[in-house]
Amino acid sequence: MISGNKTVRRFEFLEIVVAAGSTSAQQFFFPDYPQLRGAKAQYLTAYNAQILPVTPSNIPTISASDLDNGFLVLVINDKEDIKIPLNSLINHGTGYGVNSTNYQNINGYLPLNDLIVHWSKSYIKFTGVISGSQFTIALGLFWQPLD
Amino acid sequence: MISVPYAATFTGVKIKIPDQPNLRYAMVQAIDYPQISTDFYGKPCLNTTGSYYAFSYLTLVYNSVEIIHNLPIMELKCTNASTTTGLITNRNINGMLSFNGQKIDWTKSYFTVPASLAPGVDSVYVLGVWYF
Repeated sequence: MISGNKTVRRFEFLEIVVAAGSTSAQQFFFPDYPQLRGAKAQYLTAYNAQILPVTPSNIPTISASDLDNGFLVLVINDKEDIKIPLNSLINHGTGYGVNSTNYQNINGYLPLNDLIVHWSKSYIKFTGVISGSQFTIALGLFWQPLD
Repeated sequence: MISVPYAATFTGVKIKIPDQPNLRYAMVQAIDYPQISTDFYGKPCLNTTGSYYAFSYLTLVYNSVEIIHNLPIMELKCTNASTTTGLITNRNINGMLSFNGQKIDWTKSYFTVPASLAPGVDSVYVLGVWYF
């Protein structure tokens, strides 16, 4: 019942705001999170509008269709070591109010095994046409301090 | 289980968790968000309506640090989804969220909503807390 070794020390909700009128030609970088500088990343997950309609900032979350076109690039030791489709990070099978379906990774959260990610150099890119209105790319990061 | 009141007329975006005498100094093992429509005292819950829990985030404080910051309540929902349209309840396949025995300062912890939920009646959030 209790998920064995997935114990939580810290959690941070990460947001990248995509401005209205943005296109897939752009790269969307993470803002600086001071508390995450040098922190060990444990697990990562992603959300779309079917799971979380708006973020705590009250901005619409990325649509499922836009998320399916997105790729996450994580920079570790100045190398783009991880490139992964965003929908591989989805852990919730259905939308909250409608009979919609997400691509759900049955492996659970993406394990990052205490990697130290350079978040302000990491980014998301899209390979298809994205919505022209403002939205937020939302990720959830379980992490622990570098003790 | 703990019940966190959400008044029908509340218009703010930060909902503080009241003191939980049984949980002062308790070492938390896990937390979940049960699929219930009323709490132990018969108060209507925000736990089963997607337009409430999908818009709610939890922040937990330990040693004066917000160790859990803006955790979507969706991450705490472990109840399997129904297949009937309109009764879908989301489920986190990772199961209950496990902790390392941190002694959460509940009086400094809180829920956040992007905008007032306007539940219409006095309601509660209910969290299931496993501790020792």
